[in-house]
Amino acid sequence: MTFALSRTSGDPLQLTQEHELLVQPRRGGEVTWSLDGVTLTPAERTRGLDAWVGRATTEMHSLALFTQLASQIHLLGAPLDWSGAFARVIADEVRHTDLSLRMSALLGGPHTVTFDERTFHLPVGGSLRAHVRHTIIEAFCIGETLSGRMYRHALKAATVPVAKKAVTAILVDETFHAEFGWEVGALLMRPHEGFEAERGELARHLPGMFQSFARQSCVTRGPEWTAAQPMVESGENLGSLTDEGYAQCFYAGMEADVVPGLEAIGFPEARGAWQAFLAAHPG
Amino acid sequence: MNDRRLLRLRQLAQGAALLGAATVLPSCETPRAAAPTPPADTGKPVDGAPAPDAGEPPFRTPAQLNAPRPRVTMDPQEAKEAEAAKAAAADAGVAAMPPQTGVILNAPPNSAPIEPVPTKVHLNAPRRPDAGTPK
Ligand SMILES: [Fe+2]
Ligand SMILES: [Fe+2]
Repeated sequence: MTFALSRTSGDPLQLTQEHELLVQPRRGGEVTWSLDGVTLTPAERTRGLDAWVGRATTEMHSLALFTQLASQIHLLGAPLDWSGAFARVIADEVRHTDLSLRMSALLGGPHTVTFDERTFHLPVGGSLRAHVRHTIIEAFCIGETLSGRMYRHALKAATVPVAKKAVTAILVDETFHAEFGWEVGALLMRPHEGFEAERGELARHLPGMFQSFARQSCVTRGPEWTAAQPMVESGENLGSLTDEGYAQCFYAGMEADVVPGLEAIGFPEARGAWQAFLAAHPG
Repeated sequence: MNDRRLLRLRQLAQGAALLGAATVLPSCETPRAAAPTPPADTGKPVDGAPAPDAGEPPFRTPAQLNAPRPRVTMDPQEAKEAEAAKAAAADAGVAAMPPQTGVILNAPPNSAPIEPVPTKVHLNAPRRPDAGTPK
């Protein structure tokens, strides 16, 4: 079943007021929702719109998945500070979805985004602890780490004030999400009975995860060719990169953060998996 | 990541296990079936608790109320019947119902199996039709 997600319920409600407070950026100041004084070519507007509608979609998926994860850590008996930090992550993803929908509307795009609710949650097979560990490593240690780097470059690329503010707000949060993911990921790697089997199973998924994130990051060729391409289109920019720009973030993020981080928390296999990936993507 | 941060992660990963319930929760399916059945909602007054007013919703879970949960005592006949019903359900291969929490799920009963979410959802990258493979 699909539904169109809108920002608010439509009536003057306390819940809406509370939402409006929550979605204010935590740092970087309030967003002024205006394009006054900005002249965009149709191509610039379309590029920006594509980026922000895509973000509304992916941020909502993050919100749904992280909310599911937050409820799962309760079942694992995690300390309460995990729940507190997760509550912030969830609030942040609400903020990002809201900002993205508002950017879309401001640029003359859709005010709603359509979802199939069956794509929101991940099914759990086997050990819940192994599932949570797998999802944290994949979505946070890799996903949020690469995402943070992409937003960092998107902020450098942005020329339009409203987009700068929106990207800043998201970047502040995503930086925390990556940090949170590495900490929780490391804590989940503390050995327990049956741990080595779960760890080994996850390690076997690393090559597939790397390939999957490469595709999501628009990687088409090897790191050298990718690095030689422009990261940003010329002209006014609403906080987006070229496809090769996203791919550059993938290569740089994998080298600098993801692979060393995975090794540090207890996946020595990450290095070999990454070398195999590079060997399969020469040039 | 700089060396200090990597060292910190290495140290974090090597400490003592933190998860209280992890080792006794083999999967999310098994414990649900094996979990103790919550006290049946008999609608009758429970020991030591005032009788609910007529029309008051039946007591569900302590999560919804800031009040201690009253202990429910089944009468022996009722307990027998509940046991028999449980055994019959087990014989018929019917999975135990999940605990009644009073929370309303926004999902139709017997909804289609959920497909794994491709993890592209977490990336700030444009969506591509072939992006993301189920893990
Ligand atoms: Fe986000
Ligand atoms: Fe995030």
